[in-house]
Amino acid sequence: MNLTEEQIDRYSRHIILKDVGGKGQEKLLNAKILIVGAGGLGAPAALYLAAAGIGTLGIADGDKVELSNLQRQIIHFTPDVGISKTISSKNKLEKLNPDVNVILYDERVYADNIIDIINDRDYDFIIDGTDNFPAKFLINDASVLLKKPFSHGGVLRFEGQTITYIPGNTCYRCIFPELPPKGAVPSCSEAGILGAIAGILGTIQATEALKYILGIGDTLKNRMLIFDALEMNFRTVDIGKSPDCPVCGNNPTITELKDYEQPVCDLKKQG
Amino acid sequence: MKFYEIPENFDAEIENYEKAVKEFTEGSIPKAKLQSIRVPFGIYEQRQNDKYMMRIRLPGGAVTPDQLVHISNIALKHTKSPLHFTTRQDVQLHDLLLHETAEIMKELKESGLSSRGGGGNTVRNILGSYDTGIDSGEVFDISPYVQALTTRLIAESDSWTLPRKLKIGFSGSPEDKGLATVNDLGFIARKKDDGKEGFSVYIGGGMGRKPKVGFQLYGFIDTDRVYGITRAVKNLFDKYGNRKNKYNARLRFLVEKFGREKFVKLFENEYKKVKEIQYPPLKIIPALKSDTGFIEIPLFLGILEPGKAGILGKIMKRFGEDTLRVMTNQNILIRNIKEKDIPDLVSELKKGGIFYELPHFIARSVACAGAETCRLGICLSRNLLKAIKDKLDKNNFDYSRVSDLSLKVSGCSNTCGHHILADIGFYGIAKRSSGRLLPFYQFVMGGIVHEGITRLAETIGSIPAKNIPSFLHELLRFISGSRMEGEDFKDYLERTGKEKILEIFNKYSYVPPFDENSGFYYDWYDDKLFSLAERSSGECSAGLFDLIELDLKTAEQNLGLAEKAYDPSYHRPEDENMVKNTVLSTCRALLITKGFEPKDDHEAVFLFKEHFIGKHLKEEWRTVTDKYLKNEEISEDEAKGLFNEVKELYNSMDDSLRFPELDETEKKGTGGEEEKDYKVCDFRGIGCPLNFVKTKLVLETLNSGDKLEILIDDGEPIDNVPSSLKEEGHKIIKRQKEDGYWRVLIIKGED
Repeated sequence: MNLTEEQIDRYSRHIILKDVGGKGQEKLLNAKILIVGAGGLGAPAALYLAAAGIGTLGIADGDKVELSNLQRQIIHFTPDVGISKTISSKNKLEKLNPDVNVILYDERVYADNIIDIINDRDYDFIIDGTDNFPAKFLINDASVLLKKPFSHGGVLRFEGQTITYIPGNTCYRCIFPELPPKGAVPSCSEAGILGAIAGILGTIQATEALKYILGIGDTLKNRMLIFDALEMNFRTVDIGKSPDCPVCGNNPTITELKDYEQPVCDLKKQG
Repeated sequence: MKFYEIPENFDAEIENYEKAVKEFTEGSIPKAKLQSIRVPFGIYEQRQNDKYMMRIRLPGGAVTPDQLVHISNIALKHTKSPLHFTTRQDVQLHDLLLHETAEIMKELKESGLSSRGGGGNTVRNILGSYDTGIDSGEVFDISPYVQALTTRLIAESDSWTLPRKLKIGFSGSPEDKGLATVNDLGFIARKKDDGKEGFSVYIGGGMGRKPKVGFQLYGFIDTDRVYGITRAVKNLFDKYGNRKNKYNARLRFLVEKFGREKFVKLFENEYKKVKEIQYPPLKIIPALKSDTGFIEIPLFLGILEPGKAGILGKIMKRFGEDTLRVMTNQNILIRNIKEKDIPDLVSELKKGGIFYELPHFIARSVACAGAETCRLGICLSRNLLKAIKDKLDKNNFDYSRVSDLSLKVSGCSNTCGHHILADIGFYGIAKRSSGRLLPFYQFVMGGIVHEGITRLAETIGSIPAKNIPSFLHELLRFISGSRMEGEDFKDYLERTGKEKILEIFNKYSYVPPFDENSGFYYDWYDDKLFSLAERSSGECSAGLFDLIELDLKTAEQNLGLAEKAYDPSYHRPEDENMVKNTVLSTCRALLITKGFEPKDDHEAVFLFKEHFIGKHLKEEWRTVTDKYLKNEEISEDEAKGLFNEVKELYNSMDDSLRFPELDETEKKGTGGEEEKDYKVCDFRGIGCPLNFVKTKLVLETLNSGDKLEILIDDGEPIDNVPSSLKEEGHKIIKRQKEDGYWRVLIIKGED
């Protein structure tokens, strides 16, 4: 594959980087990344990944754009209210970078469709941009079973956490074996978020994806990054793979996917 | 009363400086780091290690009597050395100790004075016509603008981080006593027919190594545009200025680079942006009506003992606060006094030993500090002026017919002595004779400063320092005898032509061999043989270039290639073998870049052979140097070939005086034009960083160890691309300058 003149110009600031170069850029152009959830996390991640020249970008989301989304889901604009988030995303991404092939999955992920979605283009990396625990556990389990790397991310109020799953290493369930009990998750009134926090975390997730594709640096493999934007405090906590993990441990109890109940408050509008 | 306001953050800046000095003393930061902090505070290390000079800002030369007393007290406390009033209308303290400099800054601040921006890449002291406010011929008093602009600019932190220094001048009339037409930016007072006051604006002038007269940017601007224009010039300079090569960094080089038309366009873009921002107007404090009486105190060499400066300040207190100005000719103007007070004041000043009678010609002559204290200096310019005065005095020279002529001397080509603006000027250079260095000056003549007709003095030729007093004596006598009563010097030169002057000049350009008269090889009143050895390379490269170019020119002249007439100063009766001399000058030219000062011709060629051939030049040239050393016949083609190679090598020298090294195959010396076994890519016309990106993409297709030649443009590309490639682990084995572009040969590094 040879970069066109236009591509050389477009990606020149990547190519200048010693760790990227022309070869690295070609890796990006050949890469396939699936973003689940075109919300607060998925929006910045999708924009940066498209800008970076990721060749195939899958977007899975079943929701429509709502006015309350616009405070943080920066891929959607005011005139988009009412249309599907996938279409709204595709419109922006194709304008941003025509090199990117945007594949849409206009549905929420469930146990019965997530395998097909991931296998549809044999994605190299998955970004969890969802806003609810059932989806997060589902993405984790599917990724473990299909041996796909993915970036987990979660934000609330002024805080965020993220870990990168690389097959064979710590997965989300190694840390949180089961969904939180009812009442442990924030009630509606507590589910606020400062929009920019989602931007910080989504951008970190995009960075992890790019590093993984390029094969450079150290990903958040076996460690969780936790930040508190009020104190502006970032730290990572090393977390090893759990032998008792119900999905990736020595004696896994989860061998097929299932849907979980959405607890208490419908958090979907928080994402 | 103060002539500028010191910004609030200055205490913090002094603290930072103090900290840097402490860190340097403790050894935790290197000297170069301290230097980069120290110089923008107007503090320079003198030629003597561990002695420092501090240059205090006096806008338009204005200083109050109280401030002068204060400066005098500080000087008495910290140094016994005299104050030096400069051609930039500031005042310098000399022979200071580094660890006292921060304290001195604090003391200066007490009376509203600062050395900030006295050096380095900063907005320097703003010049102003020294007689503004009392000159009956001026358009209006420009002091309020000089002072308000100073206050504004020294409060802006980006005034200290420019690509190179920025010099500004204001003149009250077209006579341009504030040198507006030869500063980076200049304003000359002008009045419209309807009485509206404003300025004409000049830009791109400057002295220094490659002096230039500025061009008119605006014929008339309203007075309220002074700041906006200055702001835009700063922005323009900051954005496009050359931070890499300080020798081509002044604003005028941007004019040269872009051409006047594009430069003006770029300026206008910046100015448009400035106008949108709506900066607050300058705080103009109108000048008070002044008394017209004045006395010019001649300071020979711009020097005044600190004690006398104190006396002068104390005397002047009685006459008011705005009564002193430093002049661009290094004298002090007492101003704003009543005519009737003059006789008493003069006798009081005489009693204080401050005012003494000097012939006008001598009193107004100028010399920069020169090699006595300045690290850039080549010759002892002050001593030359003393020698001239001694010679003229001893011969009872009648000064009356030359009292209107200006004599200005600089110790090197950096115009601090304003030689380029003088009727008669000299600047120091080094030359070689009998294989030794000796002090020389370039003689220049016919400089004019006046709006519309400003002209830089023309170089006549070079003359040994030791011959100058006798030469000048004869020249001045000739001028006195042939100039008509009241005839302007410019008209005189036009009327008589230069032939007779050249005839006199040529008599004095001869240098005797060392064995015959070694006196020529010492500078004036110096007991050490003339040498450039104590000059450290960082601060003196301008002088080095002069010397290299001198050798190359000599070689060229010997080859008969020079278009200019044969320079008589080189003629030595024993020089019969021009070819051999070409080889000698060629070999010697670049030795100084590696710190060699050969004692004789043989050593020069030997050192060249040892340190250049096989390293920077192909082995085949060794036969030429061997022939020279064995005293065998060398053909003209061989000499010419070597000369061209060395000249090319000099052209490819980088700013750190380093040369490209040969690669392995070239070292073996196959001779002749080698076949190119590598890819050549033409990236001319492609800007940064895209040219680097493209180079990188090609390199990715090669194996490590493979070669690639790229063609890139001069300027930013050659400054950036090779160094970026090196950072990525590739090797640059050759940089060759072609006409407007460069060939760069790269060996691909490990992946």
